[in-house]
Amino acid sequence: MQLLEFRAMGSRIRVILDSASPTAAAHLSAVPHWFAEWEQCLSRFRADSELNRLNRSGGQAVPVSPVLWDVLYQALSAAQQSAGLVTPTLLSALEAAGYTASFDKLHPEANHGRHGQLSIAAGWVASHDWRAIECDPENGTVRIPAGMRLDLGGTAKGWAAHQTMQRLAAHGPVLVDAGGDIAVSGPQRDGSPWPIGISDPVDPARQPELLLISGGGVATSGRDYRRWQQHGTWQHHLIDPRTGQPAATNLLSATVVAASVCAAEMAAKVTLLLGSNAACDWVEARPELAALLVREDGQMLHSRRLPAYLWHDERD
Amino acid sequence: MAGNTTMITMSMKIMTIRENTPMAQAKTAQHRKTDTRGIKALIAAFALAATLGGWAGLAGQEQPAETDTTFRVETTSPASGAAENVPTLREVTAPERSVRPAPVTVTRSSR
Repeated sequence: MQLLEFRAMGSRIRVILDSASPTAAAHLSAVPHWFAEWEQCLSRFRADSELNRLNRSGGQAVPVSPVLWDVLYQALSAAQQSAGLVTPTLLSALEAAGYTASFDKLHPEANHGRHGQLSIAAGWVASHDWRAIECDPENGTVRIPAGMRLDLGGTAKGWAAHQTMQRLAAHGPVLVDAGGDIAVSGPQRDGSPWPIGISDPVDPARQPELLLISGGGVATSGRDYRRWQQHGTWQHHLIDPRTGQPAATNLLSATVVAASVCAAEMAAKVTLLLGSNAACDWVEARPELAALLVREDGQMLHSRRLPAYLWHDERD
Repeated sequence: MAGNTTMITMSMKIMTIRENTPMAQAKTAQHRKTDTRGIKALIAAFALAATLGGWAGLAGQEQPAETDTTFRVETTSPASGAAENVPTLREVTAPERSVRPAPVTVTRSSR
């Protein structure tokens, strides 16, 4: 079992390769370089990133690299599957809410109000419609409407975890955790599932439940960590595209198990934005998903299919 | 053991009866010598038969004893004081451990 940890994309990255081969360490050593390349391409916090060049394109079609194309395709697929609830078009709203720098450099207790108002102008939703993005596969170009700016943060981490998992899977069973978004190639060498804790958003040191995952993905979305104060009120990074403002939801966090980490990441965001009642219906209507939702009053809600993935103590 | 003891006693009685019979005292010395040989042979035959019979009896008693020992091993009961002293060897399956495995990682909102 080989373990590699480092920081990238504003998150802790953990890669575990279940291999006794002497070459396993060499394979793992390439991972930070992959993340560095992807971050340079996809980060909104780097002025010279490819994403920012696209954001400055002023409504013109521009050629994009395969990486940006892939991640943008993933983000637009999520937008389609979530009926627009998860969309990459929310950068202006994030900055308006005060999320103006990498969270590593943001001081949550300080006020981040220099971008002024939180109120979103009328017509904001229409002007940030993901369906206005034009992708031309023949020419490899993308055009975003003038004034629209993209943020690929959440999607990029899930995509990177999935890519890393796929690249390493030939060398043994692998688990990739990119800031809580987790991709699993298959069972461990001994056939057992990977034990993955679910953090309690109220008390992060606690892990009230333990998942046993043999493949696919797990992701958690929450408003318990990436939050900050603006004009004396707490804001968080999960923007509701229906309002352009941080989501008003009774959920603190949502953890979803799905067939892939990208699907899990999208579903976790949707459930959090919907709130507990609608989220339960949404998850139960999708047999490929299982979820654990934590309400702000601390109550935990298990979807019907979640127990199949949970560790059960014999005393239970 | 009890069967063997009984057979030896019976042969001694037979010998005593023959020596006290009046007919036997009237016989000649030659006849007495011949009778003595016959009696000795008879006694020896009886003794041999008794010994063999006793051994056969003992052999017959050993089989139930072995069966009894085996039975005890297989049915040892905590309530039986005698059974507690009999070493038992059983094949048992250890119960599966119910210790919660340590997580290899933790899912949480982006850190």
